[in-house]
Amino acid sequence: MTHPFSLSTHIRETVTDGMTILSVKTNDSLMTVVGSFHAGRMYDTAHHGAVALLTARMLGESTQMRTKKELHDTLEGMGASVSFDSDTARGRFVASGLATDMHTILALVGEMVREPRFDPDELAVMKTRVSAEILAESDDPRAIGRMLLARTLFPLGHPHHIVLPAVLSETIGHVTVDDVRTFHRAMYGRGDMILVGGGAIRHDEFVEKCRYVFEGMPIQPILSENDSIVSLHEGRRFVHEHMPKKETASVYIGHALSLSPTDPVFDALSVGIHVLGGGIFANRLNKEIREKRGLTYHIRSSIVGYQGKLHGYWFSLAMFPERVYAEGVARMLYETDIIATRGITAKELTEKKDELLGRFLTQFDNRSGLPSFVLSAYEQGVPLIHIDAYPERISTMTVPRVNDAFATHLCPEQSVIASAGDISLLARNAVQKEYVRIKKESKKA
Amino acid sequence: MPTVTHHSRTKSTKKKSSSAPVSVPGFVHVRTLGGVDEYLFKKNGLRVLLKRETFAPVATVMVTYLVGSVNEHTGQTGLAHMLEHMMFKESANFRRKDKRDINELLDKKGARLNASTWVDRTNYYETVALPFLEDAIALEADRMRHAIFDAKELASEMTVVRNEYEITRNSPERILSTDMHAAAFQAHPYHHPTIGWLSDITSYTVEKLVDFYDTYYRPDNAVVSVVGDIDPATTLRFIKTYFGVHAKSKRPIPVVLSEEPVQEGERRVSIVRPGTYDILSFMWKKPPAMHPDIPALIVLASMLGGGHASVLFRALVDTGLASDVSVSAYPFRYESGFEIMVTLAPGVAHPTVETIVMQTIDVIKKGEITETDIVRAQNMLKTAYASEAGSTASFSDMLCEAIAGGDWSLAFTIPKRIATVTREDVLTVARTYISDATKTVGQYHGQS
Repeated sequence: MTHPFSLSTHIRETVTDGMTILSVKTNDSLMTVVGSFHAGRMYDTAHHGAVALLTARMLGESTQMRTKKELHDTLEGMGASVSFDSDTARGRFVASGLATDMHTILALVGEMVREPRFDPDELAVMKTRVSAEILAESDDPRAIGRMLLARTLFPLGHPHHIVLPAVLSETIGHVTVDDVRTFHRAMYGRGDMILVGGGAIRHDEFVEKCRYVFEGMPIQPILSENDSIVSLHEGRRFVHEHMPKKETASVYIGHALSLSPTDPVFDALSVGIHVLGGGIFANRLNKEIREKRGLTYHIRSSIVGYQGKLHGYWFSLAMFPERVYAEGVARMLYETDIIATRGITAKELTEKKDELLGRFLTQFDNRSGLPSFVLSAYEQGVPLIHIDAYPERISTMTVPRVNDAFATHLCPEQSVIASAGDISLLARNAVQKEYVRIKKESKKA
Repeated sequence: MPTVTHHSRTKSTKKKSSSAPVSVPGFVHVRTLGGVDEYLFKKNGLRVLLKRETFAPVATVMVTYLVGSVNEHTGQTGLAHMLEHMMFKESANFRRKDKRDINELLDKKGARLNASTWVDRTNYYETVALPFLEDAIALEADRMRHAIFDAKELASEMTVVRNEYEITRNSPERILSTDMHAAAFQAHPYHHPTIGWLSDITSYTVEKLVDFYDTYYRPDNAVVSVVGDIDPATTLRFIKTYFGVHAKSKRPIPVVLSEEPVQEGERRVSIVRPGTYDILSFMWKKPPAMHPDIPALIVLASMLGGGHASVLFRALVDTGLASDVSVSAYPFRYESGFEIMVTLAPGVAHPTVETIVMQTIDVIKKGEITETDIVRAQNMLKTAYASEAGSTASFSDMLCEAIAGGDWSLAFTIPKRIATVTREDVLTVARTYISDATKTVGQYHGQS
């Protein structure tokens, strides 16, 4: 299969005044601009990320020149919207509106980032609102399971560590306007600001406008993240959060990785994880656990957490009710053990190559999502040329490379099993017994 | 048996995103709107929508069947959804033994494929790299009439669907929404959730499935849309080759007979479950998608809850009483709900928020809205509709939901009519549809 599509032919890049500015030219009347700063929770470990989160969210409130009402009346009067948020490493904004309004929208985004008011009353309301969002998230077994996994894999203070929702909520209650102002001054500026625009916009015009609106912001040193590699646990570790009446538990199995996305072994491991649980239907976990046995509706594997120089982790996720919990988890573990020890087959690799090469193309169907895709790649330190070279790198992948990557980087016996839901101790304790039964059954087969 | 054929484009049309309707024997061009050409395949009544979009060498093939949970009755709720799952098993020309697994054939080529069932429709779709366009069409055509149903596979898939049902029971919003619809709609089948009631999910038989399939899965009850970097004539020929084998069905398509009686007083729902937050929900009856009041109701919904400048966001979220508010006037084929859902901030009581919501609506009904409020809502909707054209997949979704509402042209006529809605139109619909007598209120109490 040929790959006539090159992302870089649709993108222009300018590096100027501490800003990396990219534009993706499409004919869409809707314009999307995304931007990010090194302002994630990893730079706010003392407050468990509460200040980082509140600072990002407060950028959507009043500025020195306009009240929140005036600001949003102006934006939404054009049909535009701007939102701010933060995650592990970055603080981000997403702005969208009609391409014909690009100048006004960018001017307002610039004002919001440069000159926030950080009004104490607005901060008080935002604290209530964010606490409520955290509470709502605490009701979701999928979110709680994911937090439990991250909290168990990574020690307190590590960028990927996520504190208990109650702890974060309490910390939010103590954040002051001064905390937010200080964080904003230190973290929101040029230096490693990345801006990506998409839609019917002209690159030169976009660059000029970005330079103009962010002019005067301090150029900050590019921060170097701490070494984020962590040791794996000795042996498997099982953690569970009991959630009454959440009849289907979310189960995560995974461990930390010590690879960067531009490491050649990363591609090999990524292909291997895809064979285990990537794509939609054609993977081992789905075939064995959903299709063959009907144990779950949802099952998949991913590699996540890569931002800047941060190393990430892999996990498989499935959802099981009590009646099949032990068998489901045991089968996940068994399939992971099998692929880690025996590797993938030549047939699987050939099929997975076709799938990944096809998906490389189909991901570009989402034109309005391209700015976020490009931003994410740049945040990971992955240049466009690396993205364009993806088909070539996948085409030349070999079975030994994938299996070597498994041998050196996939250690199921040191993984964490994190689950959340209304599952009895009896069912949880039955996992090991089920695992032994499945192993015996497979030997016989 | 379909084969993979590499799809070629002519140089002259490569960069154009629209083109004149093409002529392919067997098809009649019906109309063109919004860059979409509609064709009718005369032999079996299949309707086809084509739209060129040339940014990336991909296309989305979608088949929308005019059948959803609205076509089910007591004892077989969720059957449309179960059938959707079973359509990923086997069909005459896509057998596992021939290494042509429906699940895997296109997934292994990097397609983004899936299906979904909702109240008025069921859809199947694949976003594929162009060389696999023909395969996608061949697959959809084959399972339209040649699906194979097996009791053993049904038993296995039932547990998957049961798990899907149980996952929905983890969501307070889904639980409340289910109970709200069950209270607001007593006779009409919008009463039951699309996934069905658990006791029905566990009792389907192959016979029930086959009967449902034979009744509704047929060319004259479906629309095939293809959006992407396509050559329209070649695409129509693919459709003719594969869908053209199906004869026109002689079975009548059952009409949804039950009409919802007029509601004559407020109804209330209360749910108490272990949980960490509370929700308050409102529902009023609104007319079907084709009704001329729908654009004004959509503007009213946007004015109330679309964005940070909307009146309820300011009244509830900016004051710290709620963390989120959403308002929906989503158009459905039959009379349906105009809905408001509020996630309460910790410690805030339901009656406090209920009073504010009702006072806000009363103020609007008294005429205290400005032209600026209307223009803001219209412009927010304009960008929302523009965003739906941001991929071949989302454009296809937009067509699908309009088809489900009654006519694919709604995808273009509703946004156009929204732009002409006046302050008086909004006042009229607020006073007509938002009344105490047709209100259903739901409280979800998450208790630790």
